[in-house]
Amino acid sequence: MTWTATGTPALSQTESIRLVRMTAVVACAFGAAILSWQFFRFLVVFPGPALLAVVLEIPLLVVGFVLVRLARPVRPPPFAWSAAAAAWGATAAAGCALLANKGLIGLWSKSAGVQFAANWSASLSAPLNEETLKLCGVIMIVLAAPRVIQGPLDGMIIGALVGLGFQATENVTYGLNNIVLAGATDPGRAVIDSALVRIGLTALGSHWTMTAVAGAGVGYIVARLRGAEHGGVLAGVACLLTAMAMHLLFDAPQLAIAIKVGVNFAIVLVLYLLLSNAYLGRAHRVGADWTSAGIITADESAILLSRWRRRRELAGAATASERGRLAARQAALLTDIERAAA
Amino acid sequence: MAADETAQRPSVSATKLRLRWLVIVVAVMAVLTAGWPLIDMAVTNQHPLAAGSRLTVGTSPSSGVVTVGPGWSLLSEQSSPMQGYLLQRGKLQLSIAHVGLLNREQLPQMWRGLMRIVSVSNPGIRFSKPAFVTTRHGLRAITSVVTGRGQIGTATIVRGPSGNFGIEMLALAPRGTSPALHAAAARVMVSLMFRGLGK
Repeated sequence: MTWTATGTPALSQTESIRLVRMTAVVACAFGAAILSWQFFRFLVVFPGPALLAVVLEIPLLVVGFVLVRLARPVRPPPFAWSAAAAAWGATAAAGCALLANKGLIGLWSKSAGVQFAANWSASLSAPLNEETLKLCGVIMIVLAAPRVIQGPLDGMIIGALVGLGFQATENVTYGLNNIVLAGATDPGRAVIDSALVRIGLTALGSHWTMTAVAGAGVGYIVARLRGAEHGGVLAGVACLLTAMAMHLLFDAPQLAIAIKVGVNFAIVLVLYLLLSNAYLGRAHRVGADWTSAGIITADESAILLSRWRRRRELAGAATASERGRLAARQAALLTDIERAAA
Repeated sequence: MAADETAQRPSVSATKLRLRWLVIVVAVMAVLTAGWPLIDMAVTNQHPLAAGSRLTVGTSPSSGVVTVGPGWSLLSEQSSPMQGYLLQRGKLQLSIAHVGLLNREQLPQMWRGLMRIVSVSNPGIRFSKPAFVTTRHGLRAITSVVTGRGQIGTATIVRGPSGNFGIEMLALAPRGTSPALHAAAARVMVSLMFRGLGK
């Protein structure tokens, strides 16, 4: 990166965005390479079970991806950036976390003893390494696509997608490791057993909840930078610390799985209800203001904030060109409403 | 509508902010990804064990105990009381792993599993024809010589008395390593006993 004598960056805005995007692609490729290097031999020695471990995560990924995107009121986040968020979690964050955790867990073993490390090294290492690396993905999306995350709810949705990607990759690695822990006597069943626990029991309170909370924190800071009243750095930091605490709780030994999952899910649910309620409140106020100012009609205001009513309005258009014109107007108005409500 | 300062600022300011944050993100990722492993490498991994030390692997009641002789060190980073230990003496490394058996498999199934697991991290490794042996404490085990990429050693497995776990041990050293070291590893292997049964 070069800078002029006056401190002005030599890159234009477009070039800087391109640089961020290229860096993100490189980080994802690096993470994927680390994961491949670490687990490629499993694919050679246990090809069927290794593929099964991947296939078993597809429903989680697809259902989670759809539900999380639907959770954003009014309109889902852009598909491409949603996929990019999940890809960051699945590759860049997961790959880098593999190395970071290995280093820090090794340090715990060497300094505090193997017994302490066996109980606590994961819960003292993963919250710092994994939450930070996943959070980097949310920040990269703020930098690469400034309109995607404009407030805490946007950050929460994108954060949940980053966490979901991470969760899917981690589940695959747990499945493969379980083959070894079970002595490779029945690799297929070892993979299925692991998936049943990780999808059936713990999925609701796992990574997607933690990064959703941390992502909301990024959103609070972005909102503060935009000058929005509800933004704040303190709230942002509090969210990140809460996410780390959730992770510590999740990895803590001798605590019932139901408690871990229940607490994390309750935290993310309460935060979501608060944020979405506030978001919709602001969106309705914008609609009311625009109606008073004569920018849109009262009917149009109600239609804009409902997915179902927008679809019905488009379906009722007489011609394709009319439908296109309506869709363009909806999109333009929604972009402004979302900016104000975020 | 809420104010949107970012949109009103000159793009230069937004660009500077973006580049600054990009540098921060890359730096944080580099520190975590490379920093911890580098610090970890700088700290010694070998912790000497006193002769006669007993190591319990697995959690009661599914646990085994081995007794080490003089000169052994514990490689802490690769060791966990629940899953197993990696010990070192000279150039020889001895892994002692606890495996949970899903279907109460017998020794031959465990042996096939061990061969596949070892080949994950040691491509090209070969096992000689396995033989049934009895350990010092009267436990039935399977053992064989293993060879691969300039290394030679012994693999031994023992099934736990409950049938829901087993202990797998693998000693490997570069070819030409003193037979005394291999004998020391064999002594650790045959010292295996299971808690609560007296054998």
